[in-house]
Amino acid sequence: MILSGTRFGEVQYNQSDIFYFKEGLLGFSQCQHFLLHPHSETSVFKWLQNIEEPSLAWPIVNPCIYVPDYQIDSSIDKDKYTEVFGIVNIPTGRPLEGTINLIAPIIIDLKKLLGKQVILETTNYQVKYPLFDDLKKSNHSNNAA
Amino acid sequence: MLVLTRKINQSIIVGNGVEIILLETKGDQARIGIKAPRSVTVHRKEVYEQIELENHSARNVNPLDLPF
Repeated sequence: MILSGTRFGEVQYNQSDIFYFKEGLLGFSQCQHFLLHPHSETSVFKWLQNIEEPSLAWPIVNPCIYVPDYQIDSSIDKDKYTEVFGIVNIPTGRPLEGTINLIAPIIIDLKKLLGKQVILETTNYQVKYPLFDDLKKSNHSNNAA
Repeated sequence: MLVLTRKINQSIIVGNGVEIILLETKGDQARIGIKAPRSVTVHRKEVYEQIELENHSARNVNPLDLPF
């Protein structure tokens, strides 16, 4: 099958690539079917691409890459997911200001092809955790030198 | 909207198996207990709205802005 009208051009997929989100994403309850495709062969980022409305796609990444001790709380059954992702947000043209949503991660079961966005109520995680503060600092010190 | 008056430790049953209890009042704040099955999610509205806003904002990220 082919998905057109995406910001990635045409995306080819099979029935077995479709993840079902029963409740959609928060604010997007009508979005229930998604593809998960890599940003590039070497990138840590992936795209969660909606099938109902192909112009909707969210960049996601494993939060542990940026927050090594990241944990989702114990109220979420471990057998409900195999992967955890955070939604990434980047203001247009300002990649160093990118953030990740740590309070509402996406949990995905790769075998059952199921996904869900959960809210971690008992944590102090932020909706906009800066991804590249270290890079920004090193840029500043390079400029100073 | 249905409006009910409750005294401390009195509760309200919503649907099947959700109980909301008024635990304590202090000035303009109220402590509320909620008993619900695990399948029912309970969230503070302002947190929920913040996440909806963030999802809306992140739906349009330009692939060229992903640094690697």
